[in-house]
Amino acid sequence: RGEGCRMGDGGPLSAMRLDEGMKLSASELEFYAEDELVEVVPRFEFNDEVCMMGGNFGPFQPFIPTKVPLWLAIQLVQRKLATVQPPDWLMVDEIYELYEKENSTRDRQLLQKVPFHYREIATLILRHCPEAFAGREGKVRVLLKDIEDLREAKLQTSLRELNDDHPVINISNIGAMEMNKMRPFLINALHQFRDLKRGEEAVTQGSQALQAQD
Amino acid sequence: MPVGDYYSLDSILREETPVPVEFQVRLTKGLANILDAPAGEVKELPLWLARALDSKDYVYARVPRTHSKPTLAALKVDASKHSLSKLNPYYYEAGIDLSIMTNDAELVQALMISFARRYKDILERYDHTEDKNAGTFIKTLTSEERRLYVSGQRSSVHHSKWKRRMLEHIEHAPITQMSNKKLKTS
Repeated sequence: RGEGCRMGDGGPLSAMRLDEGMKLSASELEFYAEDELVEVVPRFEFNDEVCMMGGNFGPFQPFIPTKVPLWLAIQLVQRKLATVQPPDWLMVDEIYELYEKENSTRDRQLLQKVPFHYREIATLILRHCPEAFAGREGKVRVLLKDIEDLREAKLQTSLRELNDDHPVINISNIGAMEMNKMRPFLINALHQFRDLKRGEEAVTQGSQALQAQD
Repeated sequence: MPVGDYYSLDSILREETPVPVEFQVRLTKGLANILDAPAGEVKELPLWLARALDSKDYVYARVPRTHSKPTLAALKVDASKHSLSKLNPYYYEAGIDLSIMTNDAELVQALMISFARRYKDILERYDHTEDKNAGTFIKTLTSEERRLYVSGQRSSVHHSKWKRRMLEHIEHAPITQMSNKKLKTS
């Protein structure tokens, strides 16, 4: 009995990639983000270095913090071999400050400086090691959501400013996932503006050539 | 884009846009069996043919009603109210071809203004998945606008699925679910 299955993940043959300019799916972006280093506190001992493509990690001593890639940190947490120390920018006070800054620049559409993969890292750490926030995880989630919404709104406003005279938008300090989400729409819009502009240039060139003939 | 992509379906369909042409000379050989018309008569030919004949001055190509000055003036008033797809599903691209062919810079400028206006509408609406009028709205969009809308919407849906961890879910395709229901009632 045939069971159709549909993967919405934008795999290689997905229509999204073929037509519309989504070059990188969200899962793939998350995969890249997992290379970022985070601090873990191991509960095990391992006296050799682990040599990997991303670098050498270890040796691991119990209760001595050390930096490893996020994917490794998650694996260790899942096997109860370590706890993750969330990065400084993700702790409640810093997140709150970021929220305040985003909120105060809301009208000027300026995005605040954030780690490039802030969304992916925050999502993964909140999902796999919530206890690392010592009970304040809920507050962090709420603040993060507000920050994300504020930034999205600013980007949306910037997109609205796009027109043919002014085919640039300011996306300084944009995050990886935000950029990925915006990419298909923005590229198609820019293509359309460009095509119209080129058409205009072709017409003016054509009429100049005709005038030259007369 | 004076000449379309040879293999692109969109280009082929776009170049079928009917264009009224005024015959300057009477064709005596070749196409004359199909295109017999005395000098001065106005007929409608597909864009690709009109362009070829116009470049040799056998005909004088004019702008069709869909892109004529009155229609453009109406668009200028409020571009978002019109169903451009009804006029021509490739409104912008055919319009560019037409304006190059007839040397009409105002046509292309009107297109730019219309698109800048309609773009704002697309931007407002692509994110609202509960919008009941989305279907009717999409029908009014030209093929290029549709691609823009759909790309934005799909990207948005994809990323909210990621957020909710639904990306790794394997779901039944809707077609198989329908046939299951049919079996149950028989």
